[in-house]
Amino acid sequence: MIIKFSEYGKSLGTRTLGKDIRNTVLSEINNGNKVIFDFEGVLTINNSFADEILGKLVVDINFETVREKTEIINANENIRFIIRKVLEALI
Amino acid sequence: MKVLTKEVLRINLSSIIGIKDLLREINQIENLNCGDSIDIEIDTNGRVDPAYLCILVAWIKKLEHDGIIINKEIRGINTYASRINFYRQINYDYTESFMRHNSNGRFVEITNTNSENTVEIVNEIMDVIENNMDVEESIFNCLSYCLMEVVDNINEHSESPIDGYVVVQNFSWENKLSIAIVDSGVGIHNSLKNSGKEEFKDIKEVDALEECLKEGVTRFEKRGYGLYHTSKFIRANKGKMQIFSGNSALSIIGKNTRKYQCDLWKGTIMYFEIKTNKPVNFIEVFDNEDMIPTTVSESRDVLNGYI
Repeated sequence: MIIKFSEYGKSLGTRTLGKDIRNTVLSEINNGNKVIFDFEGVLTINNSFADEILGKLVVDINFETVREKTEIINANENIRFIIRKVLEALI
Repeated sequence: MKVLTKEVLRINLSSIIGIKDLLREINQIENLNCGDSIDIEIDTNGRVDPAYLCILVAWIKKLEHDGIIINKEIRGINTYASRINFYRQINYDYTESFMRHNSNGRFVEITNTNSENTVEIVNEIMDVIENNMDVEESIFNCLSYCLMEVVDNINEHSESPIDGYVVVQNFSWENKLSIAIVDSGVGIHNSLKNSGKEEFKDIKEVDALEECLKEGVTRFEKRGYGLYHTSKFIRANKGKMQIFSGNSALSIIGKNTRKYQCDLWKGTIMYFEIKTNKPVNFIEVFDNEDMIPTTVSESRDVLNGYI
């Protein structure tokens, strides 16, 4: 499954949206599928959003599984920075 | 007990000069309790500032949320006020006799913001900025991040029972773009004081406003930077930024910062005025910092290959 974040907007945030996406991701992973996070066309995300998707995903299923079952593509430096900060605090 | 210093609160918006002035006007009514009734007459004749209208909407919504009965009277129906949904938001019955054109890229009507629509609203705000200002991509991304943080603060920290209200307007003839973001929550001072952080335990209200502009200051870990970089942008842009929370206010006008006392706002008002003809470059905002959201720090080994 590919999640195209640009469908939600160029600037992304909020825990509400992050939680919705995480639930979709978890469902896919539980069904044995791999999930690709495609940030093409997205300028920024905020910490809450990244924490709600990836931070809590790591807490739920551990980083090794997240690494194995998900892939991040087309993320610009801003987005990579935020995601790194969130993940570094957890692992 | 209800204490009214006037039988009817009359607010003539065209005579209001600044948010501080508006707060003085609305604070003529105080100590209202659930079930109390008040009469408010709002004169929208002449030019009205969208930020004032947005603040009034939040004020009325909070009073109504608290069970206050408000008898609203409008003098001087104003098509602009109507177009940006002022009458609609305060549930004042008015039938428009003009054609509504799309607001995209020009303004954002007074809109209730909550965790469900924050992303949509911030993207609309960014569309207005993008449509009216020549901004470097890096600055645009930074502003986008900052405004997302500022609006999302309402969801994350404000505890506002009415969520928040936002309005954005480009004034092309004045080369300025104004943004007001208003909530009726606990306010910045309480938010910091209740954060559990030792350094904020005894902080004074007026200092809390200044504190929240500092790098990385936030109630919780892993957040922050929204107001810090926004204030740096405003300084570089020679624009204007005002924060009103509790009985304190902070203004940044160009390079100058001023703290002062003002009449009460239960919650937080953020007001930004961006000069659309004043480009801001990357160095002015970041001056070699590597904080959000500019460069990627060295990752820990375990993250290599993933992000």
